[in-house]
Amino acid sequence: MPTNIDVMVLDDEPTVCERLKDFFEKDGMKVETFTESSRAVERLAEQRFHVVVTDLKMKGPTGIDVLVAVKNQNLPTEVIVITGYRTMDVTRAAECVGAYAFLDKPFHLEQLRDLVKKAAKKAGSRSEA
Amino acid sequence: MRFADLFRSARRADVELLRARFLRFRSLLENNNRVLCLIADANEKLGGEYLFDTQYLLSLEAQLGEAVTAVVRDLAEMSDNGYPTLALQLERMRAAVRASLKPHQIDPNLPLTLTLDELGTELGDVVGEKMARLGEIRRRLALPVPDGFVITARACDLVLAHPKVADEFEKYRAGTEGAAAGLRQAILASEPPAEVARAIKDAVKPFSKNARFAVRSSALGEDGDLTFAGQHTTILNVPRERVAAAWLKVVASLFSEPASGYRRGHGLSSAAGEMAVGCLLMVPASASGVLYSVDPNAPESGAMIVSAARGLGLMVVEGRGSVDEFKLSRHAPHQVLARHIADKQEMYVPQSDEGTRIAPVPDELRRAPAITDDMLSALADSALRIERHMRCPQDIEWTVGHDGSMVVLQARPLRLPLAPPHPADDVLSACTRHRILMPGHGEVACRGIGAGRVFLVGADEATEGFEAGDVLVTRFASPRLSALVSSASALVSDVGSVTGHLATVAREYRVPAIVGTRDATQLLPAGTVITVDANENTVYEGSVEELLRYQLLRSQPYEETHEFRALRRMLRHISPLHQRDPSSPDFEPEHCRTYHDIIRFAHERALAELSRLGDFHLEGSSARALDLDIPLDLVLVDLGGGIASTARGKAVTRSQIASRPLEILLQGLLAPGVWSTNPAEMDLDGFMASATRAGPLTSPGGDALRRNVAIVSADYLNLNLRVGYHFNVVDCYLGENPEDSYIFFRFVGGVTDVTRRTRRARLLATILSQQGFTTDLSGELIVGRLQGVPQPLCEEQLRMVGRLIGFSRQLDILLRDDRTVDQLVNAFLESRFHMTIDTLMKERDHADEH
Repeated sequence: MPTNIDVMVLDDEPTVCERLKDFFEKDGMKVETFTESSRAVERLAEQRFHVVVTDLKMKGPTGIDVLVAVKNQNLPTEVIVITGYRTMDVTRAAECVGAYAFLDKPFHLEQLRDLVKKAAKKAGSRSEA
Repeated sequence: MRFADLFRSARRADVELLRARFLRFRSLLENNNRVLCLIADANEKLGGEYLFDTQYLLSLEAQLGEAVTAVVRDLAEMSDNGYPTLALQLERMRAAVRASLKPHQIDPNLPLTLTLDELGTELGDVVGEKMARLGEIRRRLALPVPDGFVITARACDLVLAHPKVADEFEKYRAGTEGAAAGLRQAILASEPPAEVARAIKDAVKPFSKNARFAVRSSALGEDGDLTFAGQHTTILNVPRERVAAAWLKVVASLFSEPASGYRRGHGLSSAAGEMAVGCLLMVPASASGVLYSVDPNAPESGAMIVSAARGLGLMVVEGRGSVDEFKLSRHAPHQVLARHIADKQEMYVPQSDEGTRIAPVPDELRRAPAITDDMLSALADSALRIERHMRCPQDIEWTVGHDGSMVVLQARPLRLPLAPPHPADDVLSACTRHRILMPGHGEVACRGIGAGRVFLVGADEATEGFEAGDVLVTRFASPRLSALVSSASALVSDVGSVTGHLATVAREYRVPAIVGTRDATQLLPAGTVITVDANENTVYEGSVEELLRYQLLRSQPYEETHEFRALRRMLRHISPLHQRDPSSPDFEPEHCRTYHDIIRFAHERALAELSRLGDFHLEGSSARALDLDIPLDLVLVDLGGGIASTARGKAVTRSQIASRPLEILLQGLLAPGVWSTNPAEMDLDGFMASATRAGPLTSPGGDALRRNVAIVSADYLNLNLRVGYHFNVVDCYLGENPEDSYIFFRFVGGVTDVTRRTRRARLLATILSQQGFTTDLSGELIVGRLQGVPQPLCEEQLRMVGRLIGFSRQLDILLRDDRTVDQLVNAFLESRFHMTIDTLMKERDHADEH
């Protein structure tokens, strides 16, 4: 597992970003938050993240678009998609593209933290390989 | 329950009607549990460890609404629509719940002002967090805070709707450049709405003519997760007649540039009704300051920080002038670990007309500490009580009056830097140093860690001597205890389930709780200090300081997302329990204020309805006689699964009984020695009394009295049984869920004089309450009730009731004097069932010899 986990949090609600940032930082992770997905996609090209935690529905590029961007650039980054209402089509699409996990709201923050850690481990071993 | 109710004129019915009622009852239990589970789930979401969205709230509202409606409908069916107002109440509540989901909607019935005594944290969204907490500290912790009142957010709404203000407000909402300044001016130029001015005039009336107020902002969302520190106006030393004008100024500050920017930056909308205003009586201050209950620079150090200045607190808050600084131990008696006494040249004092001015500190006081060590210790004590109640580190504004008394002016969550994610080694080793008193018994109903003195609640549910901060340890998770839960450090019960009423209350107040431990009341001695770790389900001896600190530093202040606030608003109409005591005259539909009240009321009334099934006069030939070894004529009515399918014809043998509660009751009734075949002796006194006594018992009128009937199903028993001159009713349901099982036992006895009746009542009540029943005595009626206990215990007690019915046959004759009561209680509990006057006398002689 990488010693310093870099996490990108993407949600168009600033309060959600802040909460997740606070929560992950309490665990010693390094967190950048974005409320605009287009800006987040730009940032992916500049900075390497172990894990991206993104909301599904947003103005501009959606969570799936962000996932596709990560995969297209062949980044050693895992993507966790948070969703309020999930449809089968979206789930299938995201699974095909290779989302690390889906998480339905409401969820316990610790559940997300465990997922992020596992995803970071996978991302870390992939980038070393 | 009135005596006469037992003998209501019997209605005619066929077995299908009874069956239908019983099925309704089952359905009610199911729906009741569904509601409790949903409330449990929702309160858990409020704990700050979940992320949820509006979709969740909508679905919660729909599911809850549907389930509570089903409960009300079930009760209506069971009671021939006996509680029509309940449905109306529910409709009203449901509208309120729905309205609370809409953002920034202020209840049009909300008063314009509320006194501090009416506030509590649950009102944060109408009076602002700051004032809500101050009210909580006053009401629930009984700590000194200034007298005063709050002008609610609805008053702010009225200003913004004022014709001269509304246009500007629209521009502001649309995000027009420079609209904030225009809006502020419009507000300041307007007059307070007549309605608000009148309400303020009424609110200040109880205070003296010379009273001065601190008029403080208490914006919604302020002091929650977001502090808004210093963004809004506070006006000090305001005379009564100028409170309304000061209020308007504070409201206007809601739209100051920094405050608007701050809100935008944090993604809060700037809609109507966001500002409540607190008006607190000014305290003549000799010294004031701020306390941090944890040192933010060294959270693990176990120290608190206090800053103190002479006069009013502005000197500290504004960081002007030099102030004294103290570091105190968090442990009583809060020794001063470090002190820095400044040369305090200036202080804030009230101005003669309004506001404050800076005055020189008298020379002899400049280098003296602003506050004594004793006051510091008292202050620290209060701070820890607030911290424990609010469950996170606190930032507290305080003042000391000229008489040396300490007053809390404000308390808010203290934001700390990053905390360790996992228990450090010292926490783990501290845990191993403490003896484990109870490992993993029962289930966690609310996570968290709390420590305190064990307050043991006995069978009588007496609560005298309970102090805030105690750990409530109780045999039964009785809803009657819910008033204590909010100020307890933790809750532990022998009996009870995660979805019980009391567990629901614990979650509402985030009180760590472990329920259904079976033996906590035996393992945790009264008066000792324990630490309840409801994260790991472990109870330690003593106070595990490292663990408590770890928990404190990891605590997260309440979150202030829109969804979070909506959920809290919504739960206010759902979760609190006011209907605690079924024997209270207020236990009526019109006093139900929340969903929780409704289902509790309905559950109680459903039990009462069910216990009256035996009052029906059954038509048709559905009844079958039970063949027993004792001379007891009992007919059975089967509602389903109560009689084995192998039973044919009109008679049923004991081995064909499939109803568990009936079989268990008979095990008690027919236990060796219980059913004495000797005819009851009758002495002359007793006989004369019965011969001269008239009344319903000596002239049986209802069918219920002439027949012994057991209405049964596989898991249910309703028994009307006349034994000699005693009339017993047993109503029992053995459900899978411990909250569902219950035993009702009613006993009415006749033919004896008043003294003997009193003795008999005392005897039965003593036995029943020693066995954990709650008992009620009214005249010659004794009602014992056992509820919310797991099945095995319920079965054991049902067997006991069987024995008691048999045992009580002989009572009247034996109760010659008061002393026999105690003798017979002991005899029963020691299974010496067949007592005679002779044996009683011999026993007595024997005891007297020793």
